[in-house]
Amino acid sequence: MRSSSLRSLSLVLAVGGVLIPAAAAAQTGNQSDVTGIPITTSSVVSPVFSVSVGGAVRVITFVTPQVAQSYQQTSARVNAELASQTFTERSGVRPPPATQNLVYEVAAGGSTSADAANRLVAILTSNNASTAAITDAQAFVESFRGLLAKGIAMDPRFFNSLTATQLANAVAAYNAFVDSSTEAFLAAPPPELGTIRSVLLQLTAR
Amino acid sequence: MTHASRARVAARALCVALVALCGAAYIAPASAQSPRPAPPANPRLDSLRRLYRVPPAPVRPIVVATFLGAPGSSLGSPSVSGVGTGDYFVGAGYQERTRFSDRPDGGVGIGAGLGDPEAGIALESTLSSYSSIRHSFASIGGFSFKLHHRDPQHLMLYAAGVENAISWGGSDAGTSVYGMVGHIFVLRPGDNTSLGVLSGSVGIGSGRFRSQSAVLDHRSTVGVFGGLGVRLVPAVALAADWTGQDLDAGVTITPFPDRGIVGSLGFADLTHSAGNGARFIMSIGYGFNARRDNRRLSPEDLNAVFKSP
Repeated sequence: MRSSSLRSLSLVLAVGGVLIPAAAAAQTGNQSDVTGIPITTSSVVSPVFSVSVGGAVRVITFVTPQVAQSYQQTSARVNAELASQTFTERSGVRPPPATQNLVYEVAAGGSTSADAANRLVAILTSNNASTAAITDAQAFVESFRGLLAKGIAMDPRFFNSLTATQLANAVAAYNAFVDSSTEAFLAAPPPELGTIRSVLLQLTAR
Repeated sequence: MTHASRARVAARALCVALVALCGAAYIAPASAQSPRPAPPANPRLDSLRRLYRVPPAPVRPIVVATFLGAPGSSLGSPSVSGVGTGDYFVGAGYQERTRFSDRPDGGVGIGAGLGDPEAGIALESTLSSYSSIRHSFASIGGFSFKLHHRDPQHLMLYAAGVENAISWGGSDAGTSVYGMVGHIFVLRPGDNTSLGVLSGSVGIGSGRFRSQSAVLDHRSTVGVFGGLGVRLVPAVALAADWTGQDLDAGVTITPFPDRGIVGSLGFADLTHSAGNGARFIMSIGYGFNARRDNRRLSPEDLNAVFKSP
């Protein structure tokens, strides 16, 4: 039980503890057991369990707080590995330092990320120059930009809807880019594609 | 119709039968659509694309409610709302004096729920201790049960229960069977609107819900009870409740909306129809859900939500 729950329970027990000793023992013959506020149902707390009449908004969040926490830790680890060019794909391949640095610059969202994003789009469309692929590459890189920084800055007290939405958008945009890419590009992709895929795989692991 | 919808309709039908008060019928929404798969591309390209695709992000859409419970409409009668799985409550009640006496009385109740009252029917079980000082805790007491259902879409509540289905130690409460229905009226929208929400409930019951003369004459009749609650400000509501024997009225206070602490105080027998005049009554309770997701929207998220179209 959380500390705030314990504090609330303690307060109620303390007040109840003052009330009850002030009362006499149970009486008989005058329905005294049920002529006050009922303690036979949740009447004593009915607003807590009634229909909510507050407002509601629909947002995206991580499936569980544990997944959000794992995402934050993975973001920090991947960010550090890319920054130090020690990132290793699941296949065991270590991407070239220049590739890791470029992906880091975009995903970390620093002051150089805009220029890095343009360079990454150029690489992803160099042998893949259909209109759809270019549009999808630009959309993906924009949603990928700053993704790790946002993940690191998450606060577990909140739903972190912006971060979850950005991750969902980045994954959807990446898959759209893959779906619009040519066979020639996917058959011999630049190392950046594999690195990005590996980063996203690690970030989406549950 | 989906399985969940069928369960919902069945739950409502059962509630209506139990309560036997309201003929409200529902048409449960049921819709399910399945996406149509795209035609396959050329096999090699399709294989490459499958190789490079990544699984969906581990996220889900949720509806974040700014929870603001409707005010209670009961002070002396059972509440029409109840607890479900994971919900627990504890409360203490106090009467400054009991009927025809000048002696105070008090007791403690603890309860838990089973089932989802919004998807179907939930069972609320409560252990009440009517003994406090001179007898040990729960040496005089009872078990009460309530089946209930709530329909947030139509702001309706249904309940049927047995108060003190099992009792011991010489309790003078007796067993009372009841059914009731409630409705929440949103008079003015807005979380902070005063006089914005009105709760109403009405029920019939045996036992203590009969008139005092019926109780004294040992007549096996049923009585009608019901109440109204109106929220003055988010933390304070007024309630007036006809218990079947007398009119109770008072205020209900929820000082910390996120904490589940509720205090109530008022007067019973304002009509002088059960006992020998008005009596001061009060209670304090704490309710919580052990499975509640305590995350909330950050200021940054809220800003984005309310800026988006």
